[in-house]
Amino acid sequence: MNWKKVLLRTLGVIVILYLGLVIYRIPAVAEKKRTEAAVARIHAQKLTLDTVMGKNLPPSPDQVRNDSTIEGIDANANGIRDDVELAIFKKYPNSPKQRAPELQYAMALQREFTEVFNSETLVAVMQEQGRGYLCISEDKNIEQVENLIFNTEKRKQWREEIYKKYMTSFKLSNEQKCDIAPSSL
Amino acid sequence: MRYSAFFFIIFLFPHIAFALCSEQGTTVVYVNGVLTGFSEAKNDLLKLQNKYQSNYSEQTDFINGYNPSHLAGLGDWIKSVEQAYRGEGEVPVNDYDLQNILVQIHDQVTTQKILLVGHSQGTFYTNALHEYLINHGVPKESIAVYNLATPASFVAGGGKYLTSANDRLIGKVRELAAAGGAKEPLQANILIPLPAEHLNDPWGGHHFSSDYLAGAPLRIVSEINSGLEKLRSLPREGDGCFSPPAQTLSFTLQKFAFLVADPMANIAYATASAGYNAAALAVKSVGDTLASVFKETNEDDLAVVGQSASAITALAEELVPEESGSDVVVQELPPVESVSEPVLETIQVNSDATLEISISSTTVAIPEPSFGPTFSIPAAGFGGGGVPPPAAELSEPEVSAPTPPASPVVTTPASFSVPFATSSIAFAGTAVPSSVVSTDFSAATTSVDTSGNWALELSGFSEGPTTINFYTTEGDLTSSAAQISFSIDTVAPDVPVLSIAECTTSFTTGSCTTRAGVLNFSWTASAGAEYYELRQDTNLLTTTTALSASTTVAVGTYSFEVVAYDSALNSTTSTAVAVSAVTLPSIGYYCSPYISTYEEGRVYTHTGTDCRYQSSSISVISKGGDLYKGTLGAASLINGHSLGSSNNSLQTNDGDSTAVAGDTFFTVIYEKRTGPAFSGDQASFRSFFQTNANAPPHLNFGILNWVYGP
Repeated sequence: MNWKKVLLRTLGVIVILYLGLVIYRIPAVAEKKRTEAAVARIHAQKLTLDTVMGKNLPPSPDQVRNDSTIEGIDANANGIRDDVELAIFKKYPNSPKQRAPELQYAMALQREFTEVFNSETLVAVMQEQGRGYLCISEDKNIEQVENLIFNTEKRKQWREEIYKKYMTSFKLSNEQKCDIAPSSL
Repeated sequence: MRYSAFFFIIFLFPHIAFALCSEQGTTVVYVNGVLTGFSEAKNDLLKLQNKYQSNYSEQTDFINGYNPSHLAGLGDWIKSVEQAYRGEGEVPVNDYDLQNILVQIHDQVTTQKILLVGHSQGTFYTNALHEYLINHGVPKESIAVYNLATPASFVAGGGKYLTSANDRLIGKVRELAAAGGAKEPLQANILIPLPAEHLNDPWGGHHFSSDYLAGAPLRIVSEINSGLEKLRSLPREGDGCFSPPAQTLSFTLQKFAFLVADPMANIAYATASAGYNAAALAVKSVGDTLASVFKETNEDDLAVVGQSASAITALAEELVPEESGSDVVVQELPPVESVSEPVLETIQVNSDATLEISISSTTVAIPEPSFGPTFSIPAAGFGGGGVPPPAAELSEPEVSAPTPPASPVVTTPASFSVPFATSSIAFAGTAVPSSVVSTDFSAATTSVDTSGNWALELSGFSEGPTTINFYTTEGDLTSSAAQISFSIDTVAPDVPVLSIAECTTSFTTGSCTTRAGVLNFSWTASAGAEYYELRQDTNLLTTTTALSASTTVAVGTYSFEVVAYDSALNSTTSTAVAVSAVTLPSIGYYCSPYISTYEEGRVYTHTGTDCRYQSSSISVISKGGDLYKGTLGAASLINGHSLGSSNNSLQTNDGDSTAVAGDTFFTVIYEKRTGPAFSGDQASFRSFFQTNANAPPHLNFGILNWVYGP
């Protein structure tokens, strides 16, 4: 019954290959799920009216501590680094209409430090940044927010690194530009 | 066993999901230029999207087909040179970056209508993408190309393009292409003013955002929109809107090769100052290291790039100081001022697919910053960045910034305050002698003579206000703009309709016959007219902004017309009215207590009703004499008399008890011809006098108008 032996051996090889493939695929599947969750999180996080109105403004952070990590300090956990949030409030103490677009863009830029780990997450962050960018529309103000976010060489270098590692073609969002309509402020 | 087979199949084969390709909507795929960082490409795309969606559909998708830099930009330059030798129909579609873009955008392109927008070196790719896509599922009617600042010699599919005459990079490419026998870039078709901050930028005029999009935003987005509007939705088969390239072993190997080579090249670039001569030799030798890898693409063309890449990589490995270490992966590029440019004389592709670059008619050279005047590699961002690199990072920092020439002075036309009634205007003026004067209206230029005079006729101006900028270009430097604003108005006013009051009671049917004397004209208002001219036999009688005028004519025949003019002196002429001015017999009339005839138009207060009719100028045997209240053609008969042949006939009962001061009356005396054929003369005259229902039967009659007083 040689054919039975051959069949069993063949089956054994197939099973081993199959198990190997499954094991090989586990990290990829996990990565895929992680990516999907991150992309959904990136798109879900929107600027809130409370943030624009400064209802939970953070205390002024210790700048050394704040700059000791890439992501910095976000004590009120609203997605905007505290030093940047306070700087924008200082710039426009009496104008929520002017604060809102810059806070939105700052939040989108901050995600480069916290959410990007592959091309898919970079694209999602780019799309959110695009909305914030167009919500501001004034080049000068865009540059000012970027200077606030990328205020250290490490942070600039981080940006360069993730761009180099994950750069890819991407489609811009056609969704509403501003999380909070300027007319409502 | 059956279950095992099922799971095996499930896990072994990838999930297949067919993406839809909608017939609704449109997609713009923007491909950036060489050395444009990811951040700049993103910002460029955002600005393009913003400009477009501010004017047109907000539902158009914008995709960046990202064109990354390789080997610190040198790979791109070498590839650009190779691409410049390609003409239409010679576009290779197996390029690594091209295939990468196709794979990346495959799932993002979800509409059947696709417009490829390229900038700078990206235009080579949009041409190649077009070639690939029309051969892989996209109907020609559904795709178009629109290129900006293109170094290419054509636009695939006959698409539009926009290249500024102020684009210094394309100007340089044109020179190099001519020197190297490559295909020259398309001619400039617009002149976009250089922003002040770009005046000293060697690559000024080439940046996507700050030059093209800032200088000609409406033209760009309108041409993109018109390109999209011409596309047709046609159904696709299979997965998505086109068939992506297969990721072959060759593709993978290339990807691996670049991944390995790029970081090393960056390090090489940063430390290159010590070894450019060696690098030059390395490039010239066009090594074989990676050639074998690229041969799998079965295209000799790519070998050029691959071979060059290998040489640079090898050089990088040779030059990197040990202390640089591999942890300097993200080391910043040195300022570009440390890299200078070769004086590139010729470039040619040899039969063995190698490049031969001649510099100063001697040998190949890789540019070294500290060596003399040379070819500078633009810093990152030149090919698309919204803002040019700071001047300090550009080459030749020691050279003081040259002063741009003075703006031209436009002396002709002398005034622009009045609209021009023509779409073609001859300009003239003065400028720096031997310079070139251009405008942002068209690509037309003119040379300034040695005396500093120039002339330039521009045509094709649109109706309405226009602003154009004139520039002086001297060498590589362009002046600031001399701005001229004016208006074009080629639309004539509406046609006025001329009327002559006296002709309403013409003595003849179908024409105007009236008494010589005062004629009162009026005409309808013409839309757009600023003023009118009244002309008699084409001679100007008067110019007026009013809608009426008068003149006095002697016996004769005349033609009158009124001409309406607008502010641009466009004119429209009314239909001419012919007038025959005649003299009627003179008559007399008076009532007691007056003892001599009334005069035409004067006021009289008579008390009696016995009145005398005098008609010595009408010597006939039978005359009629009537008194009417009113005006000719709108009157009532007070009394009528048969005067016989008397020239001075006293008649009675010419009273009107209802008359009040100011009432107008007229007296007529007319010949009553004898014979049966003329029996109706009196009735006919009376009809004419009272209602103007007909012309008088003849002209042997007299009229005397007068007013009852006091």
